[in-house]
Amino acid sequence: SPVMEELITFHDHAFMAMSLISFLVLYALLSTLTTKLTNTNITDAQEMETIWTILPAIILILIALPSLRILYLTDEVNDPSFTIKSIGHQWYWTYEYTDYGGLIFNSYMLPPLFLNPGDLRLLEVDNRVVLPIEAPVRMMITSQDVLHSWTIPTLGLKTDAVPGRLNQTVFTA
Amino acid sequence: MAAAPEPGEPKERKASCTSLHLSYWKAFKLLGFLDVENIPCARDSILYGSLGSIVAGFGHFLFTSRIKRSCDVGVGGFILVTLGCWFHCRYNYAKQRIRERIAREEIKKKILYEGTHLDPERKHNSNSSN
Repeated sequence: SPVMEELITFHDHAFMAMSLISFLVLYALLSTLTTKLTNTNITDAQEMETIWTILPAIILILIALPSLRILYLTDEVNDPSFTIKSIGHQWYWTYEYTDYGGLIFNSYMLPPLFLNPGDLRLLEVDNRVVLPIEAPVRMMITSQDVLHSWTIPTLGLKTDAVPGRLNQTVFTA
Repeated sequence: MAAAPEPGEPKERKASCTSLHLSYWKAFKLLGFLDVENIPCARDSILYGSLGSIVAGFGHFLFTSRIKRSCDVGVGGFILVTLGCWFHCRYNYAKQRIRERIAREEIKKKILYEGTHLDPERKHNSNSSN
């Protein structure tokens, strides 16, 4: 999904920054350990201190701005055409399709003994959630008992199911 | 013990040095965590950065004969060249993905509306003939 693509792009960006900083710190560490220069009378180094204050601040801003952009991008609601309610239980999900009729069903995980060859262990269920593709879908998520989490990793979705609270996520599959 | 394959049945692939070498190569991560294989532009940036580091460090050493300072210049060159290549490559990669997405959507629209009054090619042809 577009959000997941943005998340992957941000991950690559932050990963490269982190790798270069790690490399620089590693080099500085090795350089400090192997130097023969020793001066016990250093009183101040204002230029160096200015640089190593401002430069990390700039790096943090360069990481924070895309991060905030994605944060608000994931919260965008763009006129969803379909609403599904998802209720977490111990240990199954209930899905309600109430827009066009009153379809309500439970979705239990299939135990390994009931799996067919080629099925995904711990992921296959008896009744699947059917989602339209290329249409914005609103997912209302809550819980009946304890905290759960509703997630589709490949779409970049994860929303907590909190008892007594209705969380919303909008996505386009 | 495995049964002998029947005539016409494909033979089992045996592990070979080549496949083991390839599987080891696929798991390679720089410094143990930088996945240069699967992140777009990472491999090219690191390679160009290494080249820039060697050129800058060695060039500085040739002119000054100072080892420590040349190493510092090499590290600085590595960081600058890697960052420059990274941003340049990612910018082109982003432009390419946008072009791919536009092309995909235009193909879908063309398939959907071909022969109807909403056909983009028909509109374009009628505008050019007018």
